Amino acid sequence: MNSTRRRSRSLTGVSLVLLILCVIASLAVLFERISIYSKAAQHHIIPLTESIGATKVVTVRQEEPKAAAVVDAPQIISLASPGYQAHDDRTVWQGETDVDIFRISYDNSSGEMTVNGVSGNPDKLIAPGTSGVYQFALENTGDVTLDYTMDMEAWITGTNLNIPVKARVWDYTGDYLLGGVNTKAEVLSLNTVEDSGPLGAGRFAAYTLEWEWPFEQGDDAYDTLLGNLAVEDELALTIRINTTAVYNDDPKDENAGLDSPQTGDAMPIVPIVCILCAALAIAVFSFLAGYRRENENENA
Amino acid sequence: MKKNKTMRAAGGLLIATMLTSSIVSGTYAKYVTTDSATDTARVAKFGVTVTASGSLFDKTYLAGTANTPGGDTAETADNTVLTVESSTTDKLVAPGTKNTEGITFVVAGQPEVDVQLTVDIGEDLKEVFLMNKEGLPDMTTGNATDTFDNAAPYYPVKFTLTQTNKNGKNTLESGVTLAEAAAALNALDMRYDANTNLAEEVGTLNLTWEWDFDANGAGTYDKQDTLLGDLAAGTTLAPAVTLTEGTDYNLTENIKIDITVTQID
Repeated sequence: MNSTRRRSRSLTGVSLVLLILCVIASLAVLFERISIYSKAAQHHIIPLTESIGATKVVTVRQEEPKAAAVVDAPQIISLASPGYQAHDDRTVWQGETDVDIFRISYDNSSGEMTVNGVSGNPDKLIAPGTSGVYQFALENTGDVTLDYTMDMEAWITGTNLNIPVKARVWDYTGDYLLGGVNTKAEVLSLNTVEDSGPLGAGRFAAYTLEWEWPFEQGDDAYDTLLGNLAVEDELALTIRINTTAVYNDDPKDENAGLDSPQTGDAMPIVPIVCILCAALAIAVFSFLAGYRRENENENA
Repeated sequence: MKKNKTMRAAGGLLIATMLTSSIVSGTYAKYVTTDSATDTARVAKFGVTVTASGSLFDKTYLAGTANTPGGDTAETADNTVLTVESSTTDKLVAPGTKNTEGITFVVAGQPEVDVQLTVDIGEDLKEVFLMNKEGLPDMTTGNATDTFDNAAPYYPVKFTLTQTNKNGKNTLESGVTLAEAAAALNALDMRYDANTNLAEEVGTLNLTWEWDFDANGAGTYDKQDTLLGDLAAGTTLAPAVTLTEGTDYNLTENIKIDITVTQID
């Protein structure tokens, strides 16, 4: 009887030790992941401080430790924590995401709405004189370098006729992937747009897609034909942007891409993790104490 | 009892291990991700139609009370079918003729873009008139010395413009000159917001005319009408008077109406 109790007690002890080890390992990984957002990892902090009169806004730049210092520091091997997201100013892309390259209505330069669908109809529209700019970014939110690719597609449905929308695309360096400073290409030329490159940890690549259906493109009859065909058939233009990111282990690419601008204060991660650990430890010790009391009661 | 507690502890341990494994395993997986963003827009509907039908003037006019355009109607041997018949291919107007059907424009469609409706009256607008002048020959008496004074400009052909839309039939102008009717048409120039039902807002425009035969029985303008008819025929006026066409009088009616609906930005 005593030997059974002893065996059971030892089994329970081993199990608890394993559990604690698992929890500690998880916390270590979580801490490592979360710490990339911590204050120390932010290179450029833009203080959102209201500047009134002679108020001086001082920006303090936190420097990374010098390479020499790193050599002397204890070498800590941590698990890689890759992260990637493509997004625009309103939407983070997740899988196949609907974004707002086009709109339901458009205003002219005087702020008057000049293109608007039927009330209650959520269809987005294009028409002569409409235009738009869509900016998006591919951001490496992890701590390892990534290789990314970006390509675009465009297609017309509902007609074999071309829709005279023009477009141009440029990246964050100002290089045009389609069109140029003073030129735009046929919208279907978006099918030729592709770009790729490395993206260092915490860095991003940004692109701008600009499109326009010129109001005066020299063929009013053709525009009118399309508008009249659209009464019966749904003549539609679709634009898709595809991105892919894969792990890149080449250390020379770690500074590729734009440095992510960050605003505001960082979340106080360390205190939160400490509190969580303390709470967990209290919970574990409470459980152990309770368990021991139960065993002692049973033995008694 | 003891066994149950051990099992419960083992179960708890298993769940904790599974939870922690799911967190840790994600870290070791090779990272490949694909995202795409898509957006579709359709071409905004236009579909505005402006349909013109009918005509204002004709080569023939039916006899009787109608006195309306007779088209290609052939005159009978006893000359009872037509009251006015052109000797050439020219279209005519004459006292008593009228066109109650007139010319009709139907504007329809519900475009998804702002539009501007524009009515353009051609510069070559002409209408029959006899300007105010004293001592004009009175060709109604047969006396070569009789004259009359035309106290005010005389425009014998009077036009009526109506608009029929969601508010019903509305007479925009009635009994006015062609120039006045054209001005009323020009006033229809208007901007319409996207999604406006143009058939309800603009609808149908109808222009008709009439050259009153005897001023409702008063016979007020017989002298003017006769003088205009003789001027058209080239009859020698007596007493002789110098009248300049285009200034003192005019013998033709002409109007060109273009109604255009254009997208505006």
